[in-house]
Amino acid sequence: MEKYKYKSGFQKGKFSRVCPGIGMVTLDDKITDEIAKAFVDGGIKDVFELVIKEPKAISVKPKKAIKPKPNGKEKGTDGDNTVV
Amino acid sequence: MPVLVNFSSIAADSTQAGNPAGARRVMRALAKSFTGGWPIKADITAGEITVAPRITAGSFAIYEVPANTIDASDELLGEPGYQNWKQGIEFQMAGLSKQLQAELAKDINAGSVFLVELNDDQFVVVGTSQKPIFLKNSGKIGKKGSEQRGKTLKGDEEGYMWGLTPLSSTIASAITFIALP
Repeated sequence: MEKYKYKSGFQKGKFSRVCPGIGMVTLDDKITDEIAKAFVDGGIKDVFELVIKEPKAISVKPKKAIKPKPNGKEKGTDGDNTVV
Repeated sequence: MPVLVNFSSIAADSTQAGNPAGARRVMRALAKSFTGGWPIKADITAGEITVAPRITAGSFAIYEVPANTIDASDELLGEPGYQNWKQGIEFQMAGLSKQLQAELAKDINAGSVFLVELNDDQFVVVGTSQKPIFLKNSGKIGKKGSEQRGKTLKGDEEGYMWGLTPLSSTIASAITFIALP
């Protein structure tokens, strides 16, 4: 399991439960996310809980300042734009 | 006086739905391990048991038994005015191990409540904590080869106010069973 985990204090491997839509399963380390989700979606919320991951801190690199060109003119902007 | 309820129309011919007989597993708990009566009449709503067993989590054991050997039954007994239900269970356990012998020794003078997991995914309850089923077992070693070496377990009781009654699927999911080794 990656997305779900056993609730704290649950004794893995000792018990079985009827998973809604799946049937009898042993609650041990072999349980998959799919089965854990079926339990939770089926209203059985005393065994598994969703793993809430801490959001990663977003590192923002400061952008380099754009240096203006020496003449202050950009290519193609000078001159007459009139179409003949 | 009970409220008189007239009959309802019902389609009971299983049209376009499978109707498999038989069961997969037997689950049981010692009647004395219940903290209150279960099931009681008030636990039955619209033909199914909708209240969780009044028992400590992990008190129901699971028996996996040879295929096609489980049966549960009920029968309405008595003359009009005196009628009541009889409930019964029968299954086999294969082998002659010390674990099996030790397990069945727990049946002596001790009644149980049974859950039977049917082949259509329903669970039915056999017996109650107040009127449990006392299993009797008989065994044989077989004479040779493929003869059935093991135990046959049977039990029934009468005097119930209902027959075999399914357990609501929500309640079935809420029961914690002792995992198989």
